[in-house]
Amino acid sequence: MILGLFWLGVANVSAALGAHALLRRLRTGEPSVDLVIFLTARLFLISSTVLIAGVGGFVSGPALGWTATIILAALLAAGEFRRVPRPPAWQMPIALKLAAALLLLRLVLQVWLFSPHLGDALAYHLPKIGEWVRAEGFTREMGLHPHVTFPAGFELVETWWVVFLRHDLLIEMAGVEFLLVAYAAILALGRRWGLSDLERHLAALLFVLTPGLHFGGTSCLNDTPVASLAVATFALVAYRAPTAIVLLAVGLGTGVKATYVYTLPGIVLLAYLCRKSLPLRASSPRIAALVAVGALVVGGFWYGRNLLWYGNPFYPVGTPGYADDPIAVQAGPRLTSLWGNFSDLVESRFYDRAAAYGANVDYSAGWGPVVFACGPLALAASWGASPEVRRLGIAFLLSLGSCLLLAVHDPWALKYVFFFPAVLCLAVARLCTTQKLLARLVWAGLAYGLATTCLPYDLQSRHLGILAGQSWRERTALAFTRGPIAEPRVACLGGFRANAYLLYGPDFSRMVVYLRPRDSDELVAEMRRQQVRLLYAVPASAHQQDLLDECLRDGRLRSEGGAMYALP
Amino acid sequence: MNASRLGLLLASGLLLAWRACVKPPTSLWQDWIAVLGLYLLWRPLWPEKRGRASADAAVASFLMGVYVAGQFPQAISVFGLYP
Repeated sequence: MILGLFWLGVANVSAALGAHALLRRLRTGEPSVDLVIFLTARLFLISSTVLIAGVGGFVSGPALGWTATIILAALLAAGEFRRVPRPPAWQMPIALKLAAALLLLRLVLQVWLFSPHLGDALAYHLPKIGEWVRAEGFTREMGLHPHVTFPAGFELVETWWVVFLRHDLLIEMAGVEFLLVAYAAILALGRRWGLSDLERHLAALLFVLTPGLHFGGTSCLNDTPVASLAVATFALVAYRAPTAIVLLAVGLGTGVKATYVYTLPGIVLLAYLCRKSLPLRASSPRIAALVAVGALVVGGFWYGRNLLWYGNPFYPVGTPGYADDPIAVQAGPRLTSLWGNFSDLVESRFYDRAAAYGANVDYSAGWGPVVFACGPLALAASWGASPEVRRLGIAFLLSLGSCLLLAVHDPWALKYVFFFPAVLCLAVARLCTTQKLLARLVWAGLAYGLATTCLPYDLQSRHLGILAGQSWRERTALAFTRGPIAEPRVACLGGFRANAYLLYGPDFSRMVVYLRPRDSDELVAEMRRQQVRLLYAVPASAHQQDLLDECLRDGRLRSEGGAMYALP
Repeated sequence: MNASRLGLLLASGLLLAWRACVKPPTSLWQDWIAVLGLYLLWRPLWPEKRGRASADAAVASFLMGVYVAGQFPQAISVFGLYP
């Protein structure tokens, strides 16, 4: 473990110093844009490193640790650390610094105490990380959820945070990295609007505290990374950053989730509306072009892999029968979705009263009190004041519209538009400049946001008690439903409801055998062949339920309680 | 009156008309679009700066109250404080 911590430290210093070296070649001269580029470049380096390691079969702490050590030694020998600038001296009142510090401290605590717990993450995003870490490379087996083949750009960054310790204790740090990108992007957009340091930081704090986005950062879902990269792209485009640098964000965003692409119409419109502004230039256009190509390869990798493996870059979307799947995503625009999503947003979900806050924002928007009470008012009040406000407002509205048009109308659709409150938070901060009474209300809303984003609805206080009561080595959400599993191997039968990731254990020590049997004989035979005694089964279809019932009836399996079954 | 103000007036008038058509009159007071539409219809007519800040804060406070009244029970439910 000590060695793992050492590798983790070395690798992160190496990634930060490497990103700084890259930034010197990409620097635009605008400090707020350069901060966005630095953070995005760091994510690019991490993603490409894990991607190469995944393809090359060396996803392990020592292999990546030694690689990082060699790179760090080269960077130190080149004197890179001497070129690192001092942190900027932002002019902020003490209250805002305290709020930011409190938020950061709480994020650290959330990362430490939270364990992957949300159904989507456990069934769909994380099992592939379990497989990669165990196999020390990319695997064809990624779990039973129909969406395991979707792009996994965020999972690359999560893998980075688990591989050195071979433990998922710090996996939520991946989401925190993206919250920092969102924060920096708001600082840049605020500067574009001519806001002071105080107003920019207030807007950024308001944005990262919007409940849906905030909980997305510590729930191992990829909607917060998408929103963060979308806002970062808006910021780069608003400043007319070089196309190659914009493509760095576009490449990473596309590789995280296809819903990032849904925001592009607004981004393209913003580029058009800002075409007469003075453009920024990268210090080395050639390096910027190379980085852009690299980011597009990192982002496009998953689509290429799917094309190679399944003949369809968006697999399983578009395959026969997929549309009947209960969790099918929408393929292409649909006016009924636009109307359904829009009408739900304005009629009920904006009020956030149907469910407690959480990353999946069930029947809610998860935009929080300040955005609700002050956002539309502030945007309307600022609309005529500056062309910058209008441009960004129109662009964000178009992106909102295109996302609502392309996202299936379901209870969770608004997690795809976590980026939108950004423009409202900026408008609120702008209005606070001249309106002290409103500013007080915003502070009260900020305090409410801080107090109510401690725990998401799917990790309630009793769950936190269970997690905190475990030692960090054993901390797992499996304890919410059952005691520890003693077996070194577990079979898994199911689909989108099977929380398969929990079976690996927090240290990935347990092997998970995914079963796709045609009949009950095959189910039992495969378990025997793989020498697995224990079965975790959450049937996803009537066929799977029948297989299980048949085995239980015949005595070929016996129930161990919950969703666990064992061979006699 | 400039084009931007005229546009805002027109938009808020349309918003109000829409909400009046689709919502029962008794629930309009807590409909955020109706409240905002009504306020924005009136806001441009208010003399520049005089009292506008107070009116903005009052409307925002009212909306904050509407939001918190509906959301707070959910917020405390994660701490086991609400059924």
